[in-house]
Amino acid sequence: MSVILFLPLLGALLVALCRSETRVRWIAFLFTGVDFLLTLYMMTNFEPNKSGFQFLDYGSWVPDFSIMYKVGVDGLSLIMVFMTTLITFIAVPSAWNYIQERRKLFYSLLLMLETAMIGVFVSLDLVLFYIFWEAMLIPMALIIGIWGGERRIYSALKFFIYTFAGSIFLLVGLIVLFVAHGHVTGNYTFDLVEFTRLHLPLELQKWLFWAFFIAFAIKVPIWPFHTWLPDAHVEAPTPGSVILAGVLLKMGTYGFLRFSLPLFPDAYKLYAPVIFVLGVIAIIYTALVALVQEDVKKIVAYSSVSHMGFVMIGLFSLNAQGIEGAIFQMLNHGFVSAALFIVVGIIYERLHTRNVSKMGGLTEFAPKLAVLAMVFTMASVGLPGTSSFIGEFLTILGGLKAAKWVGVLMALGVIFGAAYMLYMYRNVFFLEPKVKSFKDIDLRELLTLSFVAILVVWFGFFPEVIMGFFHNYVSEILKVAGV
Amino acid sequence: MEITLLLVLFPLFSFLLSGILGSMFKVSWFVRKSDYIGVTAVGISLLISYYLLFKVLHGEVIQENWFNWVISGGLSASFGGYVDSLTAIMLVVVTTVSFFVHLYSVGYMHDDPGYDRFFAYLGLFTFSMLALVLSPNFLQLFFGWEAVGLSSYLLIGFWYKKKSAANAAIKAFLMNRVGDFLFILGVITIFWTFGTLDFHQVFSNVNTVSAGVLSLIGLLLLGGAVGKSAQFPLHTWLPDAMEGPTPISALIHAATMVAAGVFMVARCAPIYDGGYVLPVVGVIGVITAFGAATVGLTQFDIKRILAYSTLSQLGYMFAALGVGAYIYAMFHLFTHAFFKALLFLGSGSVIHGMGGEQDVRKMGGLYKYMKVTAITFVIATLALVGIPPLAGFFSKDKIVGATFANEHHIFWFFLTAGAFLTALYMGRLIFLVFFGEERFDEETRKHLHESPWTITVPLIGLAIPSVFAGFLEGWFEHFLSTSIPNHVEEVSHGIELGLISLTVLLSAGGLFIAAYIYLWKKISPEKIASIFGPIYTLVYRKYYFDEIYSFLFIRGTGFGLGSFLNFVDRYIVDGIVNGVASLTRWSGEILRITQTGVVNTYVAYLVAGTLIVMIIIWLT
Repeated sequence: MSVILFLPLLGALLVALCRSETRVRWIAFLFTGVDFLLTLYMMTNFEPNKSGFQFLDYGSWVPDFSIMYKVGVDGLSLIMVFMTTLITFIAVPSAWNYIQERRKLFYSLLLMLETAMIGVFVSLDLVLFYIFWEAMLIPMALIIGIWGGERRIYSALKFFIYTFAGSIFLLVGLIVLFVAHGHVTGNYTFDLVEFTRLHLPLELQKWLFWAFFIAFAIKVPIWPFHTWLPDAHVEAPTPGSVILAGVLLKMGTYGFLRFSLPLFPDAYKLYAPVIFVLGVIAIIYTALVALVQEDVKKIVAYSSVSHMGFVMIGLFSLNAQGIEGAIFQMLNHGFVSAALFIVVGIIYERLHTRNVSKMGGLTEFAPKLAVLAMVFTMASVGLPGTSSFIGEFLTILGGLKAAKWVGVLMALGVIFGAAYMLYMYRNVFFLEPKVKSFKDIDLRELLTLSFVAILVVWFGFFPEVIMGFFHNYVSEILKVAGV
Repeated sequence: MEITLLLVLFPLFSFLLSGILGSMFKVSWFVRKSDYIGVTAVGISLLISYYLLFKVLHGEVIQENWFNWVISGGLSASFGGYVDSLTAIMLVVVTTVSFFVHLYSVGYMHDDPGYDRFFAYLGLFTFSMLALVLSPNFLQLFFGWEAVGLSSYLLIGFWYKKKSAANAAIKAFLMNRVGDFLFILGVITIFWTFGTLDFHQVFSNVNTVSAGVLSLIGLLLLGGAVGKSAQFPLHTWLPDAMEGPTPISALIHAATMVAAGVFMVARCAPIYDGGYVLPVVGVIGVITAFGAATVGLTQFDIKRILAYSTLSQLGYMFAALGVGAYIYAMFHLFTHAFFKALLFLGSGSVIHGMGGEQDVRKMGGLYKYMKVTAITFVIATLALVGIPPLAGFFSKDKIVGATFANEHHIFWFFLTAGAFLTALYMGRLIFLVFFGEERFDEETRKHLHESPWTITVPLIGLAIPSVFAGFLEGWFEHFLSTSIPNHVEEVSHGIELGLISLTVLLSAGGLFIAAYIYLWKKISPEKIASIFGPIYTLVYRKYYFDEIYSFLFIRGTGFGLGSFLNFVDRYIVDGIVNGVASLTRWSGEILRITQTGVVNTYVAYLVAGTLIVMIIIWLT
């Protein structure tokens, strides 16, 4: 496990030491690729029916404060690591020509980011987790701030300060948890597995739930904490958006599942209706906002908020279908939104505009891009046969079980979701061309996008390939939650 | 490999080969040969369908499991093929019409630059439709349901550069989504009620569920059917769908896809029989049957007239479902598929000959120039109007009779009146197009010609069942009774004969009046229009549904509310965030005043602080 975790960091070091500005791309490609393959290897050796964590690595780190280095995966983390390594692997070719300046710095940051992201998903010690959680912010903010668009500094700062402000609550929460656990058991530790055995009094659960909630809610982002996201996406370079939408947004939902549910199950159940309200607002409100955007990147960014609403409701529905759907939707949203950002990036690279009213008729010039974009549009719309359908269907199924009005409004959101995507597709690919020429995608772009498209359809028909890994995890977490 | 899987895979391969290698990568062989691939693939599916029909005729029910799809918690749904007599009939209808449409498209679409793309979409559609009718469970049904919607969207927007086509495509997709929103809720309700999505298990357990719940499920599913079959009030997408190429209008928007709603309700007969929803189905059907017929009278675009006719005929099927005559609904679906596809293909032949003209006011006397088209078109018209012994006579008459027999007299009245209107608008259509004086210019006349054999052969091929399919009625009823019920009360032969004579008379009368107005020109249509005045305008404007929907949903809910929320998002939600940030900075600025950097000030703070603490201690 540690190899997968630190291999990208080694890559970052090599990139930094490398003399050539162009060769670094290949180094980054190689390291992210090998890391992805190692993850696949780990998946083949994973035993889905075994409970608890596998591939554990641990050792003492700061014994005075009983902080440990402890990493490992269960069904949930495994899928998250799979998503992370895959999306970072895709982000490299999407940066290939987009990032022209200071490549060395860029690829070292990207690889450092990968280690930090994997670290978040596999840490089993809360201090270690928090370190990775914060470490992630710096390279991401730098990527937006250095290679972003015109208002990059504003967006990078907003992203950084907003999420950082949330993390403070997380830190306070962690310390309170540490003290509370030590107080009750006499064993002062940051070990996550130990914490899950503790049953905290409801009053304390409530406080801690909200402290964690703020940190996670900003990351997801849950309405109304979402406004940093469109700004960040619009300014971020394509690979930045790919990572941001593909992986970073899942940190929050992962946090809810990994910490809030097992540690504060009573508060979690108590406040589920609040999440339902926020989730439903996110789904419908942001879909409507997306409908009137002119900037293609903003449309995709708002669609992310909308889709994450399904995940949130699924997580809080507290039934097998809802939670499995939510996890699957996390993975699926990672693919689909990453691919959509790549498509948007490709168009921007060629036309230097993101305004839909200046596009149109691109099918005429770029049939390959048009076909692939159609696949991702339909995936975003949640058409059966794509992986999105599985996630949406199961979360709606779960949502309806939890509360009828939630399921009904979620399903209603699907109509609006179709509206903005179809209008966007029409404005970009249909109608009379407004541009004189447009180069179709090259082999690199084709391979990247086709790879994702194949996964989207494959998982759409055979979701069990992925879901098989976390059936056991979900049934255990439901037991922990006492459902 | 399972034979039902093979059946769907052939069109899928056609889609993938023509779509990916042809239109995406422009491999020239696949671009040129997409028609061969398509026709061969559907031809094989056609043979398999007839083979399956043959097996089912021998009393077999085929149930095959292809692979597992979604497994989660207690939910388990797989892809598979379920063929009973209902499915077998649908398979035959779909592959037969699809085969003729493929063949027809070879000639019709030949000069279109998107030739390969067209055949790819046709393959996708055929695959989806077959997957839909083969469904053994509600989830696969929903898959097929949405997948045919996707094909329909792609084909309506086939000429994507035309704004009207691109918009019509979106309209079709979104209006279907409104129906599907209810449909998927229905599917989910079924799961939470029955704990399974399998047809067989659901239907055999309907007795254990209260009629109220069954009604709710029935209503939700009906929402999907209303969207897909373009029934009132979700009907407005279908006339606009005529923006798509004509072969598509025949296949998808007349014969097969739009009938999926009827098929679904018939399939779910146990649910509908257990609940109270059937009258709703009937009312929707009657409103659509009659309302669409009136609009059909006033339109001038040949394809739109046929589109309203399709709406109207689908309304008849829904009315039949609504009185519990499931088999009669299916029988009308069966006959209608042939003669309506024929009418559309015929109109395509006319449009082809006229060089793209679709306005019936600019046609006339075409019989002289295109005999095969004209004769087959007239046959299909007579079949639709219900002139004995053509196919439509048997099927429509059964429906009208069933409403009377089951004592839904209001239904009966409007359906009978609708039959008269049908004759009137179809008569108007053929007299304006094929007979009377020629109203086109010299230029068009020079190019006027009968279409090539790839077009006329499918016309003749479809004319045969349009004439004879009606005679299958007895067999059909017996065959389908193994899968679905048919609740029709017995009436005396005298009444039955009276009813039949009445409808036939009205139909013949309608044709006669149409001839009186449009062929012999005894009364001018404008004069009739002016007599009706505002009513005519109301009907001509299609009851203003488009305007109202556009105002309420597109400008209102969609872009109106969207713009408002966008404002809220930017200035209020984000405003608060930035406000908090400014507040932090502002308080920092104020606090900075205290940080003077002068030691004396700090000493003063220290002393003041100590004093305050001491005072507090002293006070307590």
